[in-house]
Amino acid sequence: MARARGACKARSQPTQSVTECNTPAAPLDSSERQRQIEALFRGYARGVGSYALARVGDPQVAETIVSNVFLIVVRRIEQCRSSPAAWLWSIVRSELARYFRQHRPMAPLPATCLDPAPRPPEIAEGLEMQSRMRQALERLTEEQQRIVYLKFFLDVPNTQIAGELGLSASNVGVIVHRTLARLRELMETRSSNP
Amino acid sequence: MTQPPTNNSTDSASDDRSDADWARWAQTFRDARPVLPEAAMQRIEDGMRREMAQRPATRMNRKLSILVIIAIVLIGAAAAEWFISHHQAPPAPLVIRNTPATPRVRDEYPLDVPFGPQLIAPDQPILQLAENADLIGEAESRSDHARPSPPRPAVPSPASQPSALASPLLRAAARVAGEPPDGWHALGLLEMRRAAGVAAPLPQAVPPGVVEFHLDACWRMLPLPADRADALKAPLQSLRKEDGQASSQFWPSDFQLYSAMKTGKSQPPPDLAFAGAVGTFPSRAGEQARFDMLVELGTPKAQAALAVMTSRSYRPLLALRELDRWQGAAACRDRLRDGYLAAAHDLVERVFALRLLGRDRDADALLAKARQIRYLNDPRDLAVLLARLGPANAWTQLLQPLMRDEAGFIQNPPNLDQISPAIPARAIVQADAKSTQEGVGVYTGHVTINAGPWKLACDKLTAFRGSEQGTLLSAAGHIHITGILGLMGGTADEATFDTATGELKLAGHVRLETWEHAVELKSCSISRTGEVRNQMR
Repeated sequence: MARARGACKARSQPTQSVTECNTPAAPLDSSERQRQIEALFRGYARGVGSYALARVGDPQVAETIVSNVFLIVVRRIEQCRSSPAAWLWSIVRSELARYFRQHRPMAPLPATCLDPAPRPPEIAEGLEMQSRMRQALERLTEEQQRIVYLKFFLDVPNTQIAGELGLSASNVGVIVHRTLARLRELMETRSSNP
Repeated sequence: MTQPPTNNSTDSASDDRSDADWARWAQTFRDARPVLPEAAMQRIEDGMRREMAQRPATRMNRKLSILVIIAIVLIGAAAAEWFISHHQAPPAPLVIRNTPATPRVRDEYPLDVPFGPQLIAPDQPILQLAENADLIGEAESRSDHARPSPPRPAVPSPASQPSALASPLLRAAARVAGEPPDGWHALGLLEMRRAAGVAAPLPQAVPPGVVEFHLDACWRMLPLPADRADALKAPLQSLRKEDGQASSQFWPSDFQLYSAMKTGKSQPPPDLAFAGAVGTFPSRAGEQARFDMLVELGTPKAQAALAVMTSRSYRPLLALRELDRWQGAAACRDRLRDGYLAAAHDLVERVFALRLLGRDRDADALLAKARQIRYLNDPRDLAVLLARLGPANAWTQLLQPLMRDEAGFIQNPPNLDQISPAIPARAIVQADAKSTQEGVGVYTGHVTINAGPWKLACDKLTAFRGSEQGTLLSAAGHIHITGILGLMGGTADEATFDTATGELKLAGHVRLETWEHAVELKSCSISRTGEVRNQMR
């Protein structure tokens, strides 16, 4: 990918190209701005959508949240001053917090009432797994949620996570492993105690 | 990928699980991640692209944006002002609009009758030779005069009682002067009181004109009686307080010298310099201040000039003659005499100065010329001349030149026989704009009518022919009238001036300011002689 006026540094990913913003204080012209937004969308949109869906459990709500996230990206791309993944995290976290703040007073419906139609066993198992994942993610700390988001939804390598957190790569590996262990513990505990 | 820590004793779950187990679980977690449908992702992308299309192509600097907005607002305001100003101006091809580059509209309407109050001829001559015979040194030659002056009352002195007419005039003058009065108004009031013979304490004047006021106050104290020999000290101190250079000027030095003589000193004060220009006698400023005060009180200029010139007092010259004879002033005597001649303005002053200088021939010649001008010596001749000239000609051809330079007037008197009152009186109308429709002229914008001594100001004036002859001038809006004898001014809602009769009719809320009080009327008329008639309250 072409380097955008010294502001973004390209790195290769298995499926998408992701840019990293370093000096975005200067205003961008339209072409650079559009290219940077599209790179962000191609690199992180599916991961953001997956994380949002994992958190809220409703595809329509998740679509709305992701749509809001990338509308904010379009409007505020000049504010992307460091890692686009970290910047996206701040937006995703804010939008999720807004959603949960608005829907917290509502009591959750029983799972049996969500979709009474009979489903194939694979689909039912997947839904069960997603439900456990959602509840487990809710119980993680802010830092652990950020690690899970970067590591398992955006597929950011440990070296980049270390750069964003200001830690060494080995230390990030330890934190990632502890987060994974905590997540596994929560999900297996939930599954063992239905 | 993830490597399980080998030195973490707190993580009990990771101790008994292999790396392969962790890798499998991680993959299971990855596989369990929910994924938004492709259609949803497409909708999100479409929405994002629409937002990108709506965003401006370039993001403008915020400061530059503010400047652009301010510039747009200013340009818009200027355009709006230009639009309003150019669309409010009436096309009006008949309108002559005044602009600073063009003169005001000026029209004249002839008056069919003699207009304005007739001058009241004084009962005293303008040249007061008989009263000042001692000063001009011709007491012995009075019998040689072909035509002696008629009996006349004495010049008012401070000891005399004020006349009944003077009292309201003085009260009005005091009201006009204000409290505290400025030097010029205080000087005018001082001279009016002197002429009326009313003694009053000197007011505390404030600038401007304070120096002239104190000089005249000192001048009018002369000559000092024996029991008040040091009376000049206080006003001289006030004069020095107002003017730090006063001690070195001519007239203050003269007063100091006179004070030293009266207090019995044999030598003049050592700091007398007689520096600076002599100017005129201190009474000259007093005359002008009194004239201005009378005009301000509504007196026509010609009448005010007659009042000023027929009530002059030259008593202070007696003090100067006494000082001239003092041996202590021998060193500066020539300087003083030259100064008196340079300052001489009136006939008596000039002859007095010439006598002191020993130029009796010049003095006699000047006196002879003065006596040849009969209307300056005989009030009866003056009354005839004033009646023939009329107020306007009397002011411009006779009284104004006399007030400016009496001695010069006598040296080269104008031939008033060639001047007749045939100069028709006119009402002069001036305004910013005039329009004419069907023979009716409409004046607008700072309209003024000058008819003789009268001056009427208004917002709008309509001029149309009367039923018989003459022109009716109908005024409206902020009417203010001045110049009517006996009135300090007046206001009204409506006014009509008839050039055929010279009568001014006032209507609406009429308010006339007399010397003593204000009169509120519904309507009234003022005759061409200044008499207020037909008053309706």
